[in-house]
Amino acid sequence: MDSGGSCRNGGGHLKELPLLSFVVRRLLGSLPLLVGVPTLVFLALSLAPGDVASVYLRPGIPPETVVQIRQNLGLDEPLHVRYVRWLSSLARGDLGYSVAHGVSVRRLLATALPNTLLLGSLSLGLSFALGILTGIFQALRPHTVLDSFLSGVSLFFYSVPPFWLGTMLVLMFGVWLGSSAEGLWTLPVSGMFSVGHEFLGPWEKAFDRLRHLVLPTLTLTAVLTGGVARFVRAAMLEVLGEDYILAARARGLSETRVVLKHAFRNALIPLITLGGLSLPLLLSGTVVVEFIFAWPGIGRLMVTSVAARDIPVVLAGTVLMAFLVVAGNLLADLLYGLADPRIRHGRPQA
Amino acid sequence: MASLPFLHGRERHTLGRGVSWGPGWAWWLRNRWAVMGLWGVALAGAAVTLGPWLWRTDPAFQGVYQGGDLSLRLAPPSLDHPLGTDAFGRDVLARLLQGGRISLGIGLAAALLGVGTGVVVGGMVGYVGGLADALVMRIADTLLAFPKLVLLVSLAALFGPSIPLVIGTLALSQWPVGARLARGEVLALRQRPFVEAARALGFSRRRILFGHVLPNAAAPLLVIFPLSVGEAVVMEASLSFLGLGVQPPLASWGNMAAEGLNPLAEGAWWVSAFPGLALVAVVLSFNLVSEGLRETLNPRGLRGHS
Repeated sequence: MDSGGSCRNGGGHLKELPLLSFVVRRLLGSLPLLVGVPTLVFLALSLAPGDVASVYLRPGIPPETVVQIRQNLGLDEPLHVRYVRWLSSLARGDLGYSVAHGVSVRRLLATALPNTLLLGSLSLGLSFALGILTGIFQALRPHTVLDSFLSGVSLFFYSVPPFWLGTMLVLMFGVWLGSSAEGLWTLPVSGMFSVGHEFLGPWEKAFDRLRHLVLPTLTLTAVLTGGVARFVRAAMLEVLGEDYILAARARGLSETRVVLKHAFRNALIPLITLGGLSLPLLLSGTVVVEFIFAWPGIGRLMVTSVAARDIPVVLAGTVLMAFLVVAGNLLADLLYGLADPRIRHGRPQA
Repeated sequence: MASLPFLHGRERHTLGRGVSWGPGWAWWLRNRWAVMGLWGVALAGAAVTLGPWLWRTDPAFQGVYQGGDLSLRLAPPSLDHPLGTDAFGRDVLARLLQGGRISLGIGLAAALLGVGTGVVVGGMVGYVGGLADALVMRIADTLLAFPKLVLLVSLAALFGPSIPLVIGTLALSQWPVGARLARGEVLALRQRPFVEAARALGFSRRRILFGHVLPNAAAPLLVIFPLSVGEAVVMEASLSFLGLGVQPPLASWGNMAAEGLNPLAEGAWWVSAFPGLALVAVVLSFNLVSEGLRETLNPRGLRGHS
């Protein structure tokens, strides 16, 4: 990412608000993703064999009806006209109709989005909390047996594909533990609610939802945590070797203060960048995890729509994912400003 | 004139950043994890190339339907079938070996195609600079910032699943990594004296780029290649797991794991457990090799990229 530029070239009145100018610049920088993904999707769609009209075609439809259908869908117009129309309808939030569900794509996505956001943000938060703790713990005792062991565990989970981890969790909690005993260990392996959840009280409902969240969240968290831990360990080791840490220790500061206030605060800055960079990995993970655990989010909607040849839903889901990445990166930029005073006060970055 | 080949030659004997082959490789061989990774890769390669000749059971033979032996449906691991059988009574070990050929073959092909294209494209635009550079790198950044699996799912939706398409789309998702890295190296190397010397000799840009600049960028490229193979293997498996990659009855580790999902309820864990274990072992091996190379070739700061 191009974070190297100085904040001084933020234009005109933005100069007094360096953080704002930083965010505006980063937002402009994400424009290629926002325009690029729909463009790519559009090009792929027009390159693909057959077109949208083929979904409506049945054997025995007269050729003039086919022409009529293509005309109604606007497929007879030249490529650039269709491209501009696709972009402008996207900008208006008009995503078309789902062929398989018969409702507007926007409504489908609107019901699925909160579920993906819940699962994704919970996993992201958990994996960062766990990864940071593990990374700091390792950096404080580098090259010991415990450190190597934890590095090995991190690398293992970093290498385990989420679909297999999820499958094994289904086996463990759904089959082995699920059949043996009724109790806290029997975790639901599918869906978002239990059967008959409508009749539960508000607290039981929340608890039921929480139980359904455990396994999908665990799978996603495990996949991300290893990378975070590896990163934090390296960043902390680098920072802990700096002279100002030695100086802080020489001044007699407590070890906790040195580690958390002096070292971690500085290791935090690249970590926020990692947060933004792990969004693609997280969203790829949600696709698989939602599929395994039947979690009704965007990813599952997309995969089931591919099977149903419901192209509008797949395309809109793809574009929505791009928006999520951009929004997440923007959030990371804001956090960046909070963590790094150099950005807040508009001094050039190191 | 006479001193120029000397300059050139000296640069050629080092792998980028002034790290020579000799002591580095010795260190690498002492690094047990990296060696273990190398053994893992070698073992997997041997298993999928030689395995089907050693384990002579037909991976496509359905013990239940063609053999008429109902006891072969989801039979647990035994001497006849060391890794058990699936719901059709097919031998899991034989399918694992055959599926490994598909999975590793696709991963290797996709990484070669993707990273190769990326290096050539990234190296060229990095050397030429200007508008082409800005445009290509914007595209690469856009692709890098986008969830790979989502991209693969939507492409599979549009074009329908087939092996060449899976290789193509995987390569499409892998090239930005190679392009970014090659471009960065080229930018760092193009001002170095040996490149200037080559320019002064009037060599063509192609000769300078492919003969002088890129060979000196080999070290970091060597680090990302195993990483890229591992990722491509996982991506192919994930895609096949979702039913959008390699189509049954052809086995791939991904669709084997998916076919094992329903038998889980009957306690038949071996159908999906073993392909997954094989996958984890192979990917872990590739990651370890990459890690070992990274530490050897770039011993100072190790920056992991996502």
